[in-house]
Amino acid sequence: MLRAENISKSFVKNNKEFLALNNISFQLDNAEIYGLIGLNGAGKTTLLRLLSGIYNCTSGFISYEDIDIRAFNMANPYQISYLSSDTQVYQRLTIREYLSFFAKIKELPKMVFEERLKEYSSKLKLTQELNTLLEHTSTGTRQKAAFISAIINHPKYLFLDEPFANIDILMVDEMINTINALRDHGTSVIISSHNLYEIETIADKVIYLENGQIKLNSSIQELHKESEGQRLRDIILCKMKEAN
Amino acid sequence: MFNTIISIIQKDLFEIFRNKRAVISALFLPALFIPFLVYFQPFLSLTESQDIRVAVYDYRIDKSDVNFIETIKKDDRLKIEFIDTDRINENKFDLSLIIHQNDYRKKQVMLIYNSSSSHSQKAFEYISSSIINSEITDMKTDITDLGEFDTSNTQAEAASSPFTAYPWIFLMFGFSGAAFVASEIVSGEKERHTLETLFSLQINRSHILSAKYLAILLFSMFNFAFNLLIMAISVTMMKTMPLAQLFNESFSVTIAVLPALILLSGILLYISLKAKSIHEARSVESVFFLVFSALIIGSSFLSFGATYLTQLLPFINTIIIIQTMQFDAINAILLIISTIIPTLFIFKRCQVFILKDGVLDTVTNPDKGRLKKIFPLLIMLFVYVLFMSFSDIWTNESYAYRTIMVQASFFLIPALVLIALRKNPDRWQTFKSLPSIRQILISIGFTSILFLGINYYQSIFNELFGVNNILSDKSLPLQSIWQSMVIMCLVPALSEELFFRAYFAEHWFNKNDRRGIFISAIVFVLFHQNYHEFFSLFILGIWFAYLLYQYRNIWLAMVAHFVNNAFVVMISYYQLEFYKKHFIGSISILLIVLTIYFRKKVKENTLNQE
Repeated sequence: MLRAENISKSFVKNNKEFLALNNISFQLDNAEIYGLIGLNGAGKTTLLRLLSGIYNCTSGFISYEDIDIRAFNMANPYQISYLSSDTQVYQRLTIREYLSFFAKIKELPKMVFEERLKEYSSKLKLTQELNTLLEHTSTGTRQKAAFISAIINHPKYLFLDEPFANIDILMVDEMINTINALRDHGTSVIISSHNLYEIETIADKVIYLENGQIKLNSSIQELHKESEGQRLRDIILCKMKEAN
Repeated sequence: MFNTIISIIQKDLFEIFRNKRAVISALFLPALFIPFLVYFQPFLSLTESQDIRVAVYDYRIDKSDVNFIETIKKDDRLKIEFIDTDRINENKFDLSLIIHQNDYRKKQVMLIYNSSSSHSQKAFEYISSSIINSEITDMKTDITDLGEFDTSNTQAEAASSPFTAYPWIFLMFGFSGAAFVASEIVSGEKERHTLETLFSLQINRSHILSAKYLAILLFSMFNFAFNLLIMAISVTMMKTMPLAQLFNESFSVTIAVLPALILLSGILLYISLKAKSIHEARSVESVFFLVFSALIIGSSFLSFGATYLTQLLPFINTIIIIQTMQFDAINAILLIISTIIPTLFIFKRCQVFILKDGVLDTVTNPDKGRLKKIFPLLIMLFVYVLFMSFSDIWTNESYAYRTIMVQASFFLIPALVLIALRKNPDRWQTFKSLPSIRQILISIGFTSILFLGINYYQSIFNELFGVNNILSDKSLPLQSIWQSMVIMCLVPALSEELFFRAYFAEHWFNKNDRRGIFISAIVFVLFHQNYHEFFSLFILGIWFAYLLYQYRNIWLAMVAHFVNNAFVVMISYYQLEFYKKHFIGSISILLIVLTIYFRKKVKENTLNQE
């Protein structure tokens, strides 16, 4: 279980303090998928970076299974996995080398790695390209490789920043299946995306961020109930227009 | 922990060796360049002449009582030159004679052979007989291998070794290799956002940093080993050095260079960690490379000598060890202190920085033009190396011939070629219009005041630090004043202005950004190799470049340069001393300050009116 309590994050840009996240609290239960939506600059990436420990909070507290994030990482290494939005991977490695690098760092046994590599590469249609240098592959392939590198050790917490950008519909479907399978194994996932159809298909709950604050945090089912079957896109659009 | 570090290093090195540009810049360029240098190295040393030239370095305080100098002066088989600077260009002389006065006021004479000269042994015999014949009572002659001097062994002398001839070469190639790697694997990871992924794995960031550092260091060490191998192969093929000496010297060079590489890798790690894009890292590294190369090449030509202070200066101590090929316990300790401590300090800074959020900041639209702007700096560096290495080859010619050759081959011709090669259609713009009478008067007038002010300052500086004054103490090398005006004023004014201003400063020209003025002034100072007059030359460089920037006219700068040099010639020719007078000096400095102040005021006013 992930719990964020009153977290704030501010940056100094051009000698001015700028509040990216303002007093955010929420809770992510085990084996749940959260959709994170918001306009550009709303603070989605900052929130994911805070949750994965890349940034430190200016104030507030993040805990995993009721222990502090650092202590959690010490006790359960590599259980928090984060996929950055514009990851351009290591261009001069082949896909196999790229994935094996992450497997090695995550201390995944070799047998398990080979097994999962086979599984995921066939699912995401990468088998043909496993020995191609990443610089010679398409953007979509790189995105898929980065995605596999994030899930290869079946982490308990998975944060995906714009995972579906640049990927064709068939592959998005395959990725959604993979994420769902992971969830069934107990992984909690947060996906940030601008594509509300995908969020609607996959997420259990949705958080809508606006100017560093949570404007909406509820389960998709409830939303549907409240709005009498309106699509998520319409609900959010309505909210945005209200704010403007 | 070790597994993580090793995995990251492995991955980084994998990436680097698959990068064609890294391999070319680190391996093929040295492979082409080093054999060329080794081949030309013997030509750098003495050009054979009929005279037997002996350099005398007299380091005594009381110079009255050595009678054998009088004896050898009378020996018309020898051409004696007294040199009162530090020991430089020893290989231009057949023999060097050094007279020391040690702590107990005992005098010592040391003779240093030049193995690349065939006259060295003759000179040695003549002089040692003079020393023995003259009845020196208070003098201890220190000619240890008097009887063992053997021409077959001369190959083993330091002067014929390419290591001592080019002590900077490994550091420079080591730098270029390591810099490429550092910007790729540190700034590159930042720019491509893969560093973020590494951070998200919750690996200890110090481990990431150590891995990156070690990868840079390993590659630079590999680069060094490869260069050394190429050097060894070319030396063996061209038979310029016996094998045993080659092994010995390679070993000393390795020990001297490795600590320098440790520090260099640290500096490069810091630069590329701080940079927000690969391009930013590369441009900062290029500037650093330029300063670094000027430092090591300059120090290898100036021959600082091994004092405790110079041995504590990182990189310079490497150069000293390679040049002298002397390596002992004190050397080793000083070398370690001078490199390990700064490295640890830099690493600590990196450790602090990598924990901050700012480490992930990147520039989305890197300014690619910056690298292009750096390019002339690299050209400058290349010309500088050539200038330092080859400007001495006309030493035996007359002063006029030498000056014209140096000016034409290092400044005039390169400048014209470089300007012609420029793609900008306005490249000849500053040549097209002639200056107005008013502009010429301003140029001449302010140059005169500037000359007085600068030389007043310089005379005070020289007196304070006991430096010989270039104006009064150096007699003119040319007989007639008209000849001097052409050779020392007109020629340099034309060629140096073309090179430093019309090519170099013009490249950086920007209406609103006048940094080019300062950069060109610094380069102008570096080429003059006269570090006592650093400040004066710097001010002159600024003034000439300012004329170009302000009036967009190269002829004005040439006029100013000519006027300045003409003053120098006239003052030395007529032995004038008026510029030393406090009254004239202080008035001219006041005038300079007032002119600059009012000029600024006028400019502000016009800006306000606009």
